[in-house]
Amino acid sequence: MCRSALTTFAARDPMTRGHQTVQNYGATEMAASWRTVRNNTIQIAEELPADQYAYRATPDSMSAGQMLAHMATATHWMEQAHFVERKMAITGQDFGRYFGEIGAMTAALGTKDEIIAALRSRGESFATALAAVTEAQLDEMVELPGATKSRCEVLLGAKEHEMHHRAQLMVLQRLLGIVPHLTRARQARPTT
Amino acid sequence: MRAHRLLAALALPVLLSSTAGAQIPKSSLVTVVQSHKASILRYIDAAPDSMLGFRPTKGVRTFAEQIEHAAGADAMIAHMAITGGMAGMPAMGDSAVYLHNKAALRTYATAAMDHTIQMLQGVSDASLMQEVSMMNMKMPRYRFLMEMLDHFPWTLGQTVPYLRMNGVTPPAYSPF
Repeated sequence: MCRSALTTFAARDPMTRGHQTVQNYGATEMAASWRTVRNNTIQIAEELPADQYAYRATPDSMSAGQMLAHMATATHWMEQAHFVERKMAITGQDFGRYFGEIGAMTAALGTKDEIIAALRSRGESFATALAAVTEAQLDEMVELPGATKSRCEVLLGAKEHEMHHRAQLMVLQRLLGIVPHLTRARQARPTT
Repeated sequence: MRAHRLLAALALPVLLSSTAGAQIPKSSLVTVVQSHKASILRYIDAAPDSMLGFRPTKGVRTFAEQIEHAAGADAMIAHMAITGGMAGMPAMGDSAVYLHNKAALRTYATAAMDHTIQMLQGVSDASLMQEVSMMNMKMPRYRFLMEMLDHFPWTLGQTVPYLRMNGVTPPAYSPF
């Protein structure tokens, strides 16, 4: 249900058959997309001063450093479930185990350098695994607690999760007086 | 004028993530947008009326403006990518009202997300594969539609600290 649906369609559609500009997007493109998103996260992590990693918007929310560490390790469950254990059904018990492991990994990241290194290494590890997923694997239906999704849709969730937290980091940057790099790039573009 | 501001802000993620977006069928796009609709309504419902005009610092959107941007951008991307322009884009509310009134904001967000879903449901598979020009780029129509899947969580996620700073625990979040 991820790539093959439209690949099949493209092959039978006279408007698109053989048309070089109509591209199919699968594991390779998903990996490239993930790298784009993660690289933007890394840039934010680099631009945040080390002494501001403890900054949090309110006492009951994650600090910038905690959020970045969470982002660095959050893909662990996807790597385990989809690429290592190749699960067709992920239970609540599985999630409990994965999140326990993620909690330990996150807690081990104490400094800015450690967090950025983890963002880089784990991000690239996830991208490499994504790029190696076959079309058939992307199309597999995976049972989650309360829902059944294609593996493609579940894997896309990694990017959405990253965006959800990166959005929060951008607000923290603003609160610290830092204009986020994506905003700076937009501001630098000539207005039409 | 607000539409032009939305377009200007949208250009950035599109340009910076030229490879963004895995190919998924229309049904999955609809499912994700339906999930996004449920999320944004939960966020609106969680916010007290008093925080519609709240901004955590100068130079950023207010809470209501963030909601407008998240929902309105989806509707605009879907409408433009599918119809080729803004003609026929329904008026979904008066910003002079919905930016200051929670019930009106909810109505606006509902209308924008419903319009997005309606546009997606109406597009054919053949149309999805057609190459279109938008924002000075050419790519298959579905690629533009995929941008919604990046832009929405990027915008709605920004409201999490807004809620926290107003003493509100954000609604549970799930990317699925």
